[in-house]
Order: sequence, then structure tokens, then C-alpha cells
Amino acid sequence: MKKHLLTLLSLLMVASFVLAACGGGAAPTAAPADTEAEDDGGVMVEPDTAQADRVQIYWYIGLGAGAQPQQIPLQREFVEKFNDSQDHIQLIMIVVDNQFARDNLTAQIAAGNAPDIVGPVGTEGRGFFPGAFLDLQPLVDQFDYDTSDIDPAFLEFYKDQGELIGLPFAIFPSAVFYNTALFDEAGLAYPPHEVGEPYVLDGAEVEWNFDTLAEVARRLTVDANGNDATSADFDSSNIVQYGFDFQWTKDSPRWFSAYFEPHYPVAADGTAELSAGQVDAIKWYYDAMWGAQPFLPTQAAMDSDLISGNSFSSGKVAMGLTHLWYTCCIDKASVPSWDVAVVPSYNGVTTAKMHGDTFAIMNTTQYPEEAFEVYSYMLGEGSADLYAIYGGLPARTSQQAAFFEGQAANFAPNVVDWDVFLRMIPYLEVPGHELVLPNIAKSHDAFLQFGSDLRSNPGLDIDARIAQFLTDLTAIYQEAQ
Amino acid sequence: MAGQSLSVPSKPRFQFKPRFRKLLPYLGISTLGLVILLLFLAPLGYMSLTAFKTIVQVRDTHSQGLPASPINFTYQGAEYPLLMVPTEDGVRELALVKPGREESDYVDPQNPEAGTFTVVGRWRTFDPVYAFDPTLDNFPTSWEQVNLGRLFRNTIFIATLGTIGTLLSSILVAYGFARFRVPGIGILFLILISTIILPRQVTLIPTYIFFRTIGWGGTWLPLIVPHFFANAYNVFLLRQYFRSIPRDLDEAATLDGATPWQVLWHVILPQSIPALIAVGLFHFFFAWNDFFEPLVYLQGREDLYTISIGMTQFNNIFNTQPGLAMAASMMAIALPLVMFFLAQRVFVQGIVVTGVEK
Amino acid sequence: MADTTQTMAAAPAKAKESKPRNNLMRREIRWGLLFLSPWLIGFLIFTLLPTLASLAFSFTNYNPLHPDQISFAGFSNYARLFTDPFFRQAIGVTLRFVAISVPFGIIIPLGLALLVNSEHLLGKNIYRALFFMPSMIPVVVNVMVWRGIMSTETGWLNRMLGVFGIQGPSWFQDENWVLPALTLMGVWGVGNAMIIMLAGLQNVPTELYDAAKVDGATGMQRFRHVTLPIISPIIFYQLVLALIGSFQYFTQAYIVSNGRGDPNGSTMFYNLYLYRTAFNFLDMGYGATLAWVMFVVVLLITIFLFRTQQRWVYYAGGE
Repeated sequence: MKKHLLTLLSLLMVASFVLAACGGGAAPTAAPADTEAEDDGGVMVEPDTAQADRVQIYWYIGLGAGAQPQQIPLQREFVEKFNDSQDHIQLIMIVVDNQFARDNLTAQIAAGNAPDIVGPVGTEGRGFFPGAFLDLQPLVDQFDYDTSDIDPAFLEFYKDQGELIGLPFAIFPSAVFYNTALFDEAGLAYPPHEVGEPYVLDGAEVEWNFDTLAEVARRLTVDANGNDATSADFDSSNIVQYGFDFQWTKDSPRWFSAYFEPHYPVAADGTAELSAGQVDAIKWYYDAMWGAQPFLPTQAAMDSDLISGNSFSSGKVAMGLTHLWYTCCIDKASVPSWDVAVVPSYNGVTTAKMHGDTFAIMNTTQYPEEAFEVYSYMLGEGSADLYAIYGGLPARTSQQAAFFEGQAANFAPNVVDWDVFLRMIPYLEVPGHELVLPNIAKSHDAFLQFGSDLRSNPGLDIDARIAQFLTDLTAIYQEAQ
Repeated sequence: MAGQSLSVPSKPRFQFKPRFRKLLPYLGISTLGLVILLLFLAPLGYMSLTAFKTIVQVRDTHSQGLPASPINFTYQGAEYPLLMVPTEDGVRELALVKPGREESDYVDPQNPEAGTFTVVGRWRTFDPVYAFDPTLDNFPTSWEQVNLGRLFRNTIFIATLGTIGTLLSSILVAYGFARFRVPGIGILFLILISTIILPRQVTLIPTYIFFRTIGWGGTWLPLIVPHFFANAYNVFLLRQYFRSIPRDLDEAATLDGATPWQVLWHVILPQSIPALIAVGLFHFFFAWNDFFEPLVYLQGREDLYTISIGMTQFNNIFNTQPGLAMAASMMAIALPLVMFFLAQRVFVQGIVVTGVEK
Repeated sequence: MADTTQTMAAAPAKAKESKPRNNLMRREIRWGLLFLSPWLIGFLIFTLLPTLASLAFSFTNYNPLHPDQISFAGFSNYARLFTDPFFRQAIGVTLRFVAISVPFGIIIPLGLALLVNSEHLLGKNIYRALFFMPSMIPVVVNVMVWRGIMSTETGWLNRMLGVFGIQGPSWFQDENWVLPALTLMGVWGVGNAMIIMLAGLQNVPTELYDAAKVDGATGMQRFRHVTLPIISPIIFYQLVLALIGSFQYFTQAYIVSNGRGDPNGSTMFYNLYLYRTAFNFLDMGYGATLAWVMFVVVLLITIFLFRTQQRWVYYAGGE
């Protein structure tokens, strides 16, 4: 018996190892309804919170804002508030991390269990799902939905091939968030709050452009011994504070390069193309991480405990260029005092890329009317709550003042010059940096992979790498034809 | 290694020496083992320590392993951190009021009335004064934020049903393979075993399309029902075990008129409890860890997520909040670890018993 | 496989052809089939048919968003393999990982098994349990913990290396180091393998050791000439499984790379590429092709290993 036990145990371990080795894969797959399957035909697969007498509307969050830790509980409150406000719809939210959301929704649509409402979602997010969204115009007409105080130009902006796939909800201009304490410590002047206003560097007035920003950022980058990046003793392997980051807008070079020069990366002949300004942006970015005087966190720095993925909010990064939605995620304990400045110029031109978010209803929904009811609540009665959660500037002019008051109260006693965001709106980029590309899923991926390489590979021949990228991207464009 | 102690001739003059010589390998090997074990388990230490840190503590570059915070001194209504500042009068504990690159303003906590004064020297190179300061908040917060309670319920439900399914079906099939002379059973068994090397990716796409077609996409059914049809590992394992039970027993029962069901129930199963527990546990652990299939089948149905994918879908939270990630991790491994320690006798100790016997 | 021969040998070769005996046999066959039926049904419908269906899909351009547009694609999916740079990349990553991780996956558990089998280790049971324990930890947690441990500047690993004056690399962010990092992470889960090896070690008859000792063999010689041959079947088995496992490697790669093979495609494992193709790009025809290629490769590797095993695997009793 003992002997057998030994045999058994060794086999057992073999078996368990097989399980582990195969990532836990039971080889035989599955069965349809069948005598044995019927044993668990009654398995509860409904969500445990489902209420049978209500229509369930699934709300998918993650393609744009909304998946940040600070936002999730607030959204949950919003859902509860809506569910309590009426008795025939149950709103269920699905939050998916931004990194995975697009892939996840794709698979979900393919699996035939698409959600009903998606959002907030920007132009880029919508572009991944051409033809997947419902034209809202018939519902707007049916419910007599009031759109009178929305700028008609905005309504036009949200149309896709003549179909109104979303009502304008929130706009997110961008600006430079800066940590005033870190500027004080370095004895540097704050960056300007007006476009065209110069920056005072070493007593002299200089243009507030990306070169100036880089110089300021170098002085704000400090190693453990207190040397800044311009010092000869600077130890770039032991940086404890960084000068600048494209806060959460750097994964794809297409995103941050729009601050230098907006350009649609497809040439007339269908090949991939970057403008001179975009190439400059990429080189500037690469040099900011791997040059002799680095000031921008690399991927390794982003993943380190020092920054933990949220650079400006860590209090260890002096400036973050990003959109208004970033107010979601600034940790007040780490960054008690901050303000915003205008986007620096490039070749004398200022470009402040913009995000415009909305909600969309998927055309596979079984309950378009109920979905639209939720939708009107989101953009109407409940909109103030949502603007506060997402930090979005209301597209309806009448709501903007209230929005800024709410933000100011949230960050008090710190005082922020919110008007900077309004001043940036006229400088939005044309063409948009989120316009759909050919073979979008793969071409977007190629941009992300390129970005990842820039952030993690110190030894690149940058010109050769850009050329390589364009070749790859052209091949991806052409695959779609 | 044992050879060393034996090859040394004992010297009668020192009575204690041979004994010490005998102890030496124990000491050496055990110390070595301890060092390796500590290295091996260090990640668990990292996990536990980080779970008790606030985000500010995690980001603190001076921070030692322990969750600690700089001690603050309140001066004129605001809080300032204490640093060990080298001055002419030796190293003093001063509160940093206005940091500057090359010189900073400090206040002496012993004598705040004197106001601030400037000390030349880079504050970053001075050591802060720390106090042990763990936080418990990460546990309830991560429980809330990723809805760990629901993830636990879902995972336990799926794992339990799957375990029942695989036990039921594997017992039947293993019994069939172990005891019945069916023509071609050898070949069938060979096929069964060869499914082990069949990557499940091969069957994945048609199976996925099939489940989707019958409306099982976005439900737990694809994660549970297949386990009611036995799988190669478990059948193999149980069959080997059943075969080790003497045939005389069931032949005697059969002569007494017992049906094969009764033989299985009254003769085979009572003697196979350890194997059954093992199979059950392994399936449970497998289901607890499974990632690929929930990922494919539960896309976006947040309310149905299991622990593995639930936690991954909040990648960003965990990236930006290591304390939460580690607290959630500690909770996620608690159940499997408890089960493992309760059941470890089944495997680890069993081997020891057999080993000693030899 | 040896067990199968036993099964067939155990079956009575010459059953007597009397009538009651026949009835009995028929009865036994009926019962046997009844008991086997769950697996038979499962195998037929959920392994055999999907495998064939998968083959069929590999000749189409099936996209689940447009199921009505499915059409026969001939061998175009297979032709694509030769021009697809990502396919080459995925194969390269997987093979590189095999080369780095498989030796570790054999040597480390063997070393640990020797350690916890040592008669000089006090508290063996505790060691066995604790070395085994991390293999019970969900892979997702495993990845999260190791990401912290291997953080470039603040991680414990690089701090420890720093004590010895070594500047540690950016494990997960450096495309040259991410595979070793994953390997190191995998070492944490060798508990299963260790226990199998341990069982193997305990199967080594003590008499053999005693005989070797009498012959004056050193510890190293005994290990090489007694222990290794006896546990070689187990090592062989591990090797097969580790190779198969590498082709199915997914979860860790998916999590550390944002599901995209970051940095720069250096973690685009074969299985991750397959998943992306089928479920992100919804190119299920090509996905099925990739799956079949994987199947064939794994099959060839297994056959190859079984062929070579007579050379180095020692089976007690000898064939």
C-alpha cells in the first residue's frame, strides 16, 4: 500500500505539473447540452445583482476616461443613484482598464455580448469600432431631446458619415500641469499662463517653446545627491525627481507629437508618413529620456516604485503636459500645490491637442429606448456628477462655470488658474491626432510598439528606427487593401 | 556529502569531536537550506511589507523595507519633515521648512520660537527621521475597488462546480479504464493520454465559436460544463490508483451479486480517498489560477469575472498603487494557501512516510 | 506509454469461448462503455471535432464580426506564415525562451529536491511545504509581486545586486532581459517539479547507494552514476512538458506586456500572438492556422524527444 501511495503521489505531482506547465490547460474541451450538462443547466450565470423585473443596461467604461482608481467608486455611486431614480432599468457598469479596453470590447462584440452604452469615449476610441454605434438622431427626435444649447458645430463634429453617434458631452483641452513646490525649490520662475507670454529664465525673457521647456525640465531633474541634469556630476542612474512627462499621453508617438505639429500620418499614395515636426517630436522625446541630460521618465522609471505609473501625481515629476481629464488623478497628499500653464510652442506655433468625449449606444443593443433613457440622464440630470468625475469641460456652455467652481472647491486650498484651459481651446490641433488610420487595430498597435521601444531601448539609431517604423506601418496600411 | 563524515577517522582523544563532526553536515546543509528558503520566500516578504505601505511610503526613495514615514514637525500650522542635518554643532534633528537646492531653511523643533534659519547643504543628501508607520487601509480599499468579494464568490463557485464535475466524470472514466475489458481499450487509453500534448489552442477557436453560437458567450458555462467530461490527467491519475487496489476485493463483491456501480461505490471509492482529495484539490487550484479561458469567455462581463482576470483588468490601479496590489494579492492567495497547508499531508507527508520505510 | 502495454498484457489473452462467458463479456463491455462514455462523448465532440473544425477554419478567412462573409481561402493562410514578420518574431521569442528557461526548469527543481531529500536537512517537511507553496499562488499575483521585486531602481533584486556592486538591469523594460526575468519568475513556481523529482529520488534503492559507497564512489560520482540514471525518466518527462508549456506560455506574457508583447515585441510569445490574431484582430482563420502549426510543432518535438530518449533515459528493468 505504501508503495502504491508513492506511485500515486508521484503521478499526482506529474499531473499537477502538467497542469502548471500547460498554464493549467485541461485538454478536452467542452460539451453542449447533454444529459450530464443538464446537471448544471440551472447554473446561475446572471449577474448576482440582477433584478428580474428590470431591463439591464450594460455601461462599458474604459475606452476613454473612467478606469482610474479614484473614479471607479464615484461611478459606482452614480450608477446607484440612477438605479434608485427609477424602477424599470437596472444600469450595470463594466470597468475595464484602459490598456485592455479596446481589445476587450472587440472580443466582446465578436462574442455577441456587447454592452449597450460605451463611454466616455473619444474620437480614437470610436474609430476602432466603425459602424458599431447607433445613430442617435431618430431617438433624439422620438424623445424630443433638447439640443438647443449645444454648439451646432459640436453636433457636426460628433457625426460619423452623417450619423449622429454621440451627443457632445465633454471636451478636454490640454495644458502643462506644474508642481509649484518643485519650482520654488529649484528657484525657477513659473511657466506662463498666456499664449505668447515669455518665460523668464536666468533673468532673461525667452520664448516659451519646447527648447525652453527642456531646459527648465533639466534643472528640475535631480539625482539622489542633489545634482540637477545640467550638472557634470549628474548621475542618471539614480534620478529621484524628473522635470517633465507627457503625462499619460506618451504611449503612442502619434499622441505627443501632435503638440509639435499635427499631421495625419498617411501620404497621398497610401504609404505611412510623418511630418518633419513629428520626427522632431520623436527625437526630442527620445533625447529627453536617453540623452546626456535626461529629464523624462523612461519605461523603467515609470514602472518603478518612485513613480508607480502616475508621474505628475507622484510629486516626483515637476511638469506634466496632458489633458484636463488629469484632474481625476492628482494625489493631493503628494502634490499639495500645483497650477497649470500654457502648452509651449514649436517653431512659433502653439498646438494644444484636444480630446472630445461622449457616450455612444451600440447598435447591437436590444433595448435602444431604455439605453437612450440612461443616455439622456447621463447628459442631462446626471451630467454634473459625471463632469466632476471625468474632469471634462461641459460641451454645453451654460454648465462650464459650475464645472470650474466644483473643480476649484475640490482642490482648495490650492489655487489653480482654470482659465488656462479655456485659453487653450482655440489652439486645438488640425487635423486631429485621433483620426482613424487604415487598418486601425494594427496600425495603432504599431504606434504603441514603437513608443514602447523608444521608452525602453537606450541604444536606438533613431533615424533608422523611424525609417523602419514607417516601412512597417506602410505594410500594415497596405494589408487592409 | 554524507561521505565526508564517514571518511574522517575519529580520534579517541577528543570525545566530543566525532559527535561534532557528525553534527557538521546537519549544520551546513540546514544553514544552506535556510538561506535558499529565505531567498525563495523573499517575494512574499516584499508582498507583505508593501501591503502595509501608503503610496507616499512606497515612493519614498529613502524608505527601508519596513513601512515607515518621516516624522513631521508642526510649525506655524503646517507640517514639515524632520531631517538629520549636519551643522557646526554636530548632526541635529531639524525640520525642513523651505527646501532649496544648495541651502534650505530649517526650524529647530527644540526651539521653534527662534524661527527659521538657513543651513548650507543639499537636503536630499540628509537622512530623514523615520518612524514605523504601517497602514491597514490597503486591505479594505482594494477589497472595495476591485470588488474582491464578488471575484471571490465567482471564483469559488466556478472552481467548486468544476471540481465536482471533474471528480464525477473522471472517477467513472478511470474506473472504466481500470477494470473493464473492452475491445480496443488500450488504444483508447493511448488516445486519452495523447490529448495531453494537444495544445488547447487547437480546439479553442471552433469551441469558442460553438459556445458563442449556442449563447454561452459571456456566461460561466464554458468554464464549468467541459469539466463534466473528464480530462486526461485526472483519469490517468485515478486509473493508476484504482489499479493498485487488489482485484480480489471487487471480484468477491461481484460474486456476492454487486453491480459495478456498487463495487465502485463500496469497494473502490472508500479506498481512494487520498487520490480523490488530490484530484479535487488540483482542479480547484487550477480553476483558481485559470486565466486564458475566463479571459476569452468572460470578456467585459465584469460581474462574472474570476480573481485572475478581475485583478488583471485593474492593471492600472495596481500599477499606480503597489500597496493596493499587494494587499489584494495577499487576500487572493489566502484561500489556496490555507487549503494547501491543510492538505499538504496528502502529498508531501505521504512521500516522507514511504521514504522512511525504505 | 509503458502503462498501456501493461494494460494489454494484463488483459487475459485467451478467454474461453463458452456461452456464459460470452454473456459475461458482453455485459462487461456494456458496463465498460457506460463508464467510459463521459470521456468518449467529450473527446468526440470537444476534442476531435473541434480539432478537425480548426483545420477547416484554417482554410477560411472567418471573422466573427462578419460571419456571413466567410469564404474559402485555400492555402493563403499558410502562405502568409512565410511572409508574416510577427509570426517569425513569435517563434523566435518562444524558442529563445525555451533555451533560457527549460534548463532552469530542470536544474533548479532537481537541486531543491536534492536539498529537501538530504538526510542532513533538519525539518525537511517544513522545507518541502514551503518550497512548494509559491507554486500554488495565482500567476497573476506572481507577476504583480515580481514586477515590484524586479523594479529597476527600487526593486529588491537590484538592490541586492547593488550590495555586490552589480548594476542590475531593467528586467521587464529591457528587451534583452525580459525573458531571463520571466524565467526567474518561473523559478518561483518549481514546487511541482521539485516534488516529482523528490518522489523520483526516493525511488532510488538505498542498496545501490550502499554498493556505490563500498566501491568508494564520492558524492558527486554517486549522483552522476546512480541518482541521475534512475531519475532520468522523470527528467525526460519534465523536458517534454516544459517544451510544450513554452509554446502555451501566455498569462505572464500577457500581463507584463500589456497584451502587446512590450517592450518592442520581445515578449510576443507564440500563444500571445495567436490570441491577438484570433481575439483582438478577429482573424480567426489565420488564428486557426497558427494553432495548427503549433500543434504540428509540438507533435514533432515530442516525437523527436521520444526518439532520442533511448540514448539517455534509463528505464529500470530495461526494454
